Amino acid sequence: MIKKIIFAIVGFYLLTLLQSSFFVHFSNYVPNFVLIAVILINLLEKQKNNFGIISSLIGGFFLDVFFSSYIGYYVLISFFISISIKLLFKKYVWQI
Amino acid sequence: MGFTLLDMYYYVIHNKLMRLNRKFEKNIGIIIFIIISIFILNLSPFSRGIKDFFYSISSPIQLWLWEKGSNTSGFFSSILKAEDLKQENESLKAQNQDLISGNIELERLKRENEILRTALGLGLEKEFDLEIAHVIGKEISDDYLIINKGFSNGIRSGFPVITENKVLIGKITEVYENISKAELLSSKNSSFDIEILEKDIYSLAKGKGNSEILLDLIAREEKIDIGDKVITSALGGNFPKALLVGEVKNIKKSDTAAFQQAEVKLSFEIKDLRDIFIIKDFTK
Repeated sequence: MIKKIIFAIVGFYLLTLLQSSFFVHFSNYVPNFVLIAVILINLLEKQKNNFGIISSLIGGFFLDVFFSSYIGYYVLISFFISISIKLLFKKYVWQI
Repeated sequence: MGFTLLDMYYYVIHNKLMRLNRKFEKNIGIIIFIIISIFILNLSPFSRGIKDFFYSISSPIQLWLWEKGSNTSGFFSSILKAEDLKQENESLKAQNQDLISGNIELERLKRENEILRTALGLGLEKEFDLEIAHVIGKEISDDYLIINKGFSNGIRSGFPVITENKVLIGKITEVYENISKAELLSSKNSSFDIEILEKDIYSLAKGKGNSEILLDLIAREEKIDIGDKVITSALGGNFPKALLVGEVKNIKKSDTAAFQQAEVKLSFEIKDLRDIFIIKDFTK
């Protein structure tokens, strides 16, 4: 799990830098790749894993550091996205 | 004394509810803990320290990525636009003819201007107290640039940001130790006074987001045309006067409205920005 967390910290940090300084050159409308990554991790991980929630906190933190005036704005957004996906999966997918 | 079926049902349901309640309380506890931590973090100077730390270690990487991104996007856009190039070439040739004739007059004016500048000592650096900086990033959804100069370089909130051609980009809104954030003119929070060049028309410009601004409150009877140059006015006191903002690209006029509006195309492209100037003092 620690390996995964370190990987997530490095990965999200690099993704945020790319988002901020590289992708902006290609279009005025750049999707939020960090949030997309958080959503994908939550959608694809197994039922019992909590890595999705941890990754949402890490991704949200880096988005806040580079793109928000206050630390917590993106952390809460990504955290609630992650929780919502978990709850929806629990109610409609994993029960089947 | 014996358990009835109803008692058993009651026992099972009660147990389930208790388990759910405990789980709910645990989750709610975690959420409340996160929210309180965020509030405390933002109220303390610690959050500024965190940002300063990450900006300091990231700015060389961001600068490198910004330059690579600029080069790569230039390469791809030239491939994608290859079909349009022929057509563009034709129109450029026609424009070139007009420009050559106009250039002769400009050359004469330039020489005259240079003589006057030398005589009066009016360089850009003489006009303003400037600090050169590099753009290293842009925010995702908002029109904000991240710049590699901060408090330690004498940068303060409210300083105007321009290009080397005296084109206004925006103003500094957040300053960290070695990094600052500049709000672009097109930001939705941005509003400033402008003047339409050679027409003596003054108006209020408001950012619309996505590299666009809108001129508002222009009296209906004022005559504005597409292509009119828009410059800053000294009325608001936020920006030096006569900095180029952009040119009118669309006019919105209706018979019922008392005022007309105009959309303005900014004179800079975010992706082309590398070296910029921060005006530390324009009251020289």
